[in-house]
Amino acid sequence: MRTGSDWERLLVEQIRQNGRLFFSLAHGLLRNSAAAEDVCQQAMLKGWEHRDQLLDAASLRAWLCKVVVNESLRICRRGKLERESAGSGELAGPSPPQEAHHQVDLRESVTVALDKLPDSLREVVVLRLMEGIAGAEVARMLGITPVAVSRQLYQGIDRLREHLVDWNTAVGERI
Amino acid sequence: MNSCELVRAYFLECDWPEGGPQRAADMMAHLQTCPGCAAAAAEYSRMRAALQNDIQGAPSGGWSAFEQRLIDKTVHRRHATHWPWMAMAASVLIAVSAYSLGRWTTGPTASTSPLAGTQTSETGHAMIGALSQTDIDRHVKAFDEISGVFEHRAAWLLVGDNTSDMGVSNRAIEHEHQVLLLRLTMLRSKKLISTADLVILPGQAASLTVPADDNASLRYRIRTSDDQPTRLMISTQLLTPKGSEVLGALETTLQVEPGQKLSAGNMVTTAGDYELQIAFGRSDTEQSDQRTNP
Repeated sequence: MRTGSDWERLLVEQIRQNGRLFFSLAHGLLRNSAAAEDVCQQAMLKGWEHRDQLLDAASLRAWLCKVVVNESLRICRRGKLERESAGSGELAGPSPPQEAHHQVDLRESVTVALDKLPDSLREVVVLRLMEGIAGAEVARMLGITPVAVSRQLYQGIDRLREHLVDWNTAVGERI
Repeated sequence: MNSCELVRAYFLECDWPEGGPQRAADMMAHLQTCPGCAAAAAEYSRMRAALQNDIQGAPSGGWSAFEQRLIDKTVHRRHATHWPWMAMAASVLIAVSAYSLGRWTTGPTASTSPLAGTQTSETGHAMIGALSQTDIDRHVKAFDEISGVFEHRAAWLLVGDNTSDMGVSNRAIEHEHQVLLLRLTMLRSKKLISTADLVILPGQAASLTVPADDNASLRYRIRTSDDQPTRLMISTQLLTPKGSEVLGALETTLQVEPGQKLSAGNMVTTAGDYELQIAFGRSDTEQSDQRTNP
């Protein structure tokens, strides 16, 4: 059984090894560095609170990824942030060109649709499509087989399409 | 699985670069002759393009600083809960320091409240007041005293009308005797609802909650740069009385010079129009010490 200090070491290890991944996942959805960092902090604190349910480093990483994605989507859903700039998200600057606006709208639609997916499908879609992580690596991260990654990605995209009724029209007009 | 299913599964599972040139060539040949698979592949690519994390955000101060902040605020932060006496001592110390220093340096009739620096125009529009040298010296002195008690681990100190708070790092903070001062003033429909003064070391970040006079509260997250001119990244949330809902949010990045007063932005909410105003100062702690201890 792990002690408190074991868990502290494990969390520090997670931050050192996967901090960039967690930040990147949150930033990909929120487009805001300060908010992404807050989400990472919340995920780490939740990791500590739920330490009894997490068995090892691998399951902790998968679990933290899930928390980061869900918490980011929760913030998107509640419209807590002014994601006003499609650029860096940090500095107020000139308005993005029209094409960038379209891409932002498109991403917003996909983000809303992502929020409607079950956890298992969402994780795979986010890790594979958003972060571009290879299927085998996603399988390792989530502790599932590569075949399951493939199946869940396929199902996830199918479900995304269902939620994006006007997807083809929208995409056809914009890209 | 038939060939179409295989191609689609492979496309999703491995993507082209992972399959090697032969596999990619096979897939390409199939996609050219199968409109269904070509459409599915195109859709996958479009969705990927929309979702792809094309904007690589980086945390403030770089990756190492980000990792250290995460460790400090999550792993190390929990240690603080074992020391409730320290939090209590800090509250008392802040209150006493701010009060006694205010009286001592500005005389018995002077207010220790940051509101003293805020005026109201003839039209009733509250105007932010600049930080006077007396304000600055008083706050710097209070910060210095508190920092000494906490073995130079104090990163910031907040002094407001109805609140005081401070941030303590888990180790001593090295700095070149410079501190930044911010007067945070929030107006609703041009009337003052909250004001607070923050003393913070350059390069440090503060997370603080300040009450507003309409029972709401304001949560500020402020990051500062350690170079000059100073850059401030300010995230503001307007919260309901119980703090459970966010009524409005404002994110802004400013480049400021000492003595400057400026509007940091507006929030338009169903509860009214809010404006955040900032007054900024910078002080040398040693010089300030000489002024208050001649």
